[in-house]
Amino acid sequence: MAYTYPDCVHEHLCEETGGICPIVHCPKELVNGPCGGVIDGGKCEVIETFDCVWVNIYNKLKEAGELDKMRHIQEARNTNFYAELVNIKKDSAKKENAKKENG
Amino acid sequence: MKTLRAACEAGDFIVTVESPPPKGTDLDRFRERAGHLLGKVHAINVTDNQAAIMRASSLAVSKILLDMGHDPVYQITGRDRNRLAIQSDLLGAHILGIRNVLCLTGDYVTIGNQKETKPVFDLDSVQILKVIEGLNAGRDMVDNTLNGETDLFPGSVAMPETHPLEPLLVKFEKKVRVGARFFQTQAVFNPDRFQHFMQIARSFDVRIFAGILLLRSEKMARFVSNHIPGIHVPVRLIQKLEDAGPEGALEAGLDIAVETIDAIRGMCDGIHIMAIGAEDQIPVILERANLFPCPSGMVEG
Repeated sequence: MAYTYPDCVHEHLCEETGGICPIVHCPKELVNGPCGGVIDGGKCEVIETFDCVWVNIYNKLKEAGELDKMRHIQEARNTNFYAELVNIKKDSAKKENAKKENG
Repeated sequence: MKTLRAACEAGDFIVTVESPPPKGTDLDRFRERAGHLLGKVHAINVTDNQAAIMRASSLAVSKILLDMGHDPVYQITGRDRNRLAIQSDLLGAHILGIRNVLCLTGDYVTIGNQKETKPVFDLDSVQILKVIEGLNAGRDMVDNTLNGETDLFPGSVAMPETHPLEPLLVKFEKKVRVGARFFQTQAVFNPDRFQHFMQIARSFDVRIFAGILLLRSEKMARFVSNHIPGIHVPVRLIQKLEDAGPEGALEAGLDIAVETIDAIRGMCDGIHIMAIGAEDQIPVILERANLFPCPSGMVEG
């Protein structure tokens, strides 16, 4: 359960969530706590067999006496992914062009 | 006519109601329903593709209500629009004269009927509230100065009857810290649970309007209780609807709504009525709960 995103898009978030990545485990990828879709007993409305990851994070932080971490306001996620994707495409187009010119 | 913000500041007992936009472009029925509520409610919420089901734009329909003389509560979610769209729609709302904004995360796309939709969720409700805080101070999300700031009155939602409640209370507190001024709650059916929530909410300087859902049948009561997160209709009330039979169920539902209002009105700052398809019954609820005309002394029209 407790693993971080291999290519973490919100680097320091898991330090404040007891090592559990909410982006991986929440369908809405929420970073500031649970939505209103928490079903009785702490399950997720979207995937009813799953625990709400934010309920798990709450329980883990509470047990560790670190609930204040959950109170931090998390900024909007830095989704560099799309900018990087554009760069990758630019690079590959450059290489294609160079190939054509040389060939 | 007092605006929602002015009525909140005056400490009036607030009445808001929910009104979904039309599924299409014909506004006749929508205008007719809204017309019946003029002078009887402080504000009307316009839902934003609620339950992930496509309807007319909440921004456009909020403007229609404003032109009718209502004070709309423009609902905006993070499900269908990214941060550029959210900031620009909020500027647009201010330009159109809309002031109240209810910030929500939004139901997931698979809850609705166009399940192939790409969910956005670039910003969550806390972050949308923070955007409003910035726009009201004349700054966009990357700290650029705006040519004219907004003057929006931000609110959000709370879930008083969800179990476990504590994780949601942490988020509630965050929403207050980023500027939420009022909260409309999920439907309340258990005054004791609501009281517990209010004891905590009362330590913050925000206005809380309790959700009142009009039940119209035993089947509906069971459905919302089993399928809508945070709603718990007690067996006693389900039995009451069942005993009333098909002909008497609406009357029993109205009784339940009024009974709930009477039980919670001393605990909170107002009510938020959700009639889901029976909006014509809202004036009846208000009259029976002695909230008609509004005790704030608002005038007709």
